[in-house]
Amino acid sequence: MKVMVTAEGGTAEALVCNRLARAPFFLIYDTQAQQWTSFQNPYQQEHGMGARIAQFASEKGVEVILGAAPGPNAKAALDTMGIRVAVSAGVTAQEALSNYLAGNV
Amino acid sequence: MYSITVLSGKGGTGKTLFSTNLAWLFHQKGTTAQLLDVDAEEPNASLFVKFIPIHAQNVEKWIPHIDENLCDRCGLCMKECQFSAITIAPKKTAVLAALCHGCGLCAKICPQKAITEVPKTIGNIRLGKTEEGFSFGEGILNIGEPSAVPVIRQLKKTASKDSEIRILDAPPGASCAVVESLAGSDFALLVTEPTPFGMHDLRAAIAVVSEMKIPFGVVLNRFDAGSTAYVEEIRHLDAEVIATLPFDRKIASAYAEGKLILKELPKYRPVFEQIIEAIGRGSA
Repeated sequence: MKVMVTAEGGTAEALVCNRLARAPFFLIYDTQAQQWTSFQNPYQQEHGMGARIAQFASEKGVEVILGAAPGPNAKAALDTMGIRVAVSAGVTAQEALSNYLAGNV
Repeated sequence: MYSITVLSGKGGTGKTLFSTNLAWLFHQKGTTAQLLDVDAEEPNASLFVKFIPIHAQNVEKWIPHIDENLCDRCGLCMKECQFSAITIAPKKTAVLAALCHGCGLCAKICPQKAITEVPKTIGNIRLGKTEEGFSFGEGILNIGEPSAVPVIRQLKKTASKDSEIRILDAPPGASCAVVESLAGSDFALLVTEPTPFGMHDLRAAIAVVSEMKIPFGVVLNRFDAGSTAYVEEIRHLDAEVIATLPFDRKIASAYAEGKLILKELPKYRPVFEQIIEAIGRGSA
C-alpha cells in the first residue's frame, strides 16, 4: 500500500503541512518496499490544486493521504478517485505514518 | 459611446460614491448617461438612485456533462482542463462546476464525444432607468458562485449603447472581474484614499490599467491635512491626481442615508466638474 503525506519539507522528518493541496512536498511511503519517495508539489501555484492532488495521488497509486482536512473541491475529486484522507497535524511525516499504521488516526 | 470605468483596488474608497454622482451630474448637464453597476458580487449603486427595472435576464455558464456510457476514461479532458474542473477515475467521473470557467474545451476535444455542455444559471442582470431619467443596469452574481466575469460580460453586452457616456462601477481588487469591467473602456477613474492600504492597492490598479493601455486619472477621497504626502507619492507613480474630495462627516452621513452628495451638498459640485473636465482632456 502507498500512503502519501503532504509535508512542509522533502524528508520524513518534515512536519505535516497545515494545508493539503498547497503543501510544498508530497512524500509517498510504500509499505512493501518500506521506502519514502519525495516529490515537490508541482501544482502549488495552480488553479484547482485540490483536484490536481487527487490526480497526482491516483497516478502514483496512493490509497491514503495524511494531512490537513480537504476543502470541498479536493474532497469531491478525492472521493471520485476513491482516495481517503486521514487528518493529521502537528507531527512529522514519519510520526504521522507510524500513527496511521498503528491504527491511531 | 464613451466608456468610463471607476475602480480602486482597495474596497471602500468611494467607487460607488463617484460613479453615482458622476452619472447624475452628466445627466444634469444634458449628456445622455448610463450607469452600470458591474460589482456583481455586491451591487449597491441602486441604493443611491431610484432604479426602475424594465428588463431582466439570467446569466448562464455552460458546464460539461459527461455521458458515462460513452466515456472510455481516457482522461484527456482532465489533463487539458486548465482549471481542474474534471476528475476522471476508472469507475467514476466528476465535474466540479465551481471550478469550471465554461470555456468548452473538454467538449471539443473529447475523442468519444462523451461531453455535452449544459447551462447553469450563475446570476442575472437587470436593465432599466433611474427615476432621475438616466439609463441604469446592474449585475447580480448568485451566492456561492466564484466568478462574476460572465455576469459583467453579459451586462456590458446587453445594455443599450445609445448613451453618450457609460459609467461602470467596478468591483474592488485588480483581478479578472476588474479586467472584464475595464475591457473596451476609454478612461479609467481610479479612486483611492490617503492610507497605506489605499496606496498599495492603487499601485495594483495602476498596473492593470497601464497594461491595458487605458488612459486614467486618480481621485483622492477623504482628503485632509495629512494627505499631501500621498499626492506626492501618486505623482511618483506617473499618475495625476485630477481631483480631491475632502474628509467631511456630512458626506459620510449623506452617503449612509443613500443620498447623492451632489444633491445634498452642492458645494462639492466643483470637485465632480473637475473630474468631468479631466475626463474630457483624456487626462494623464
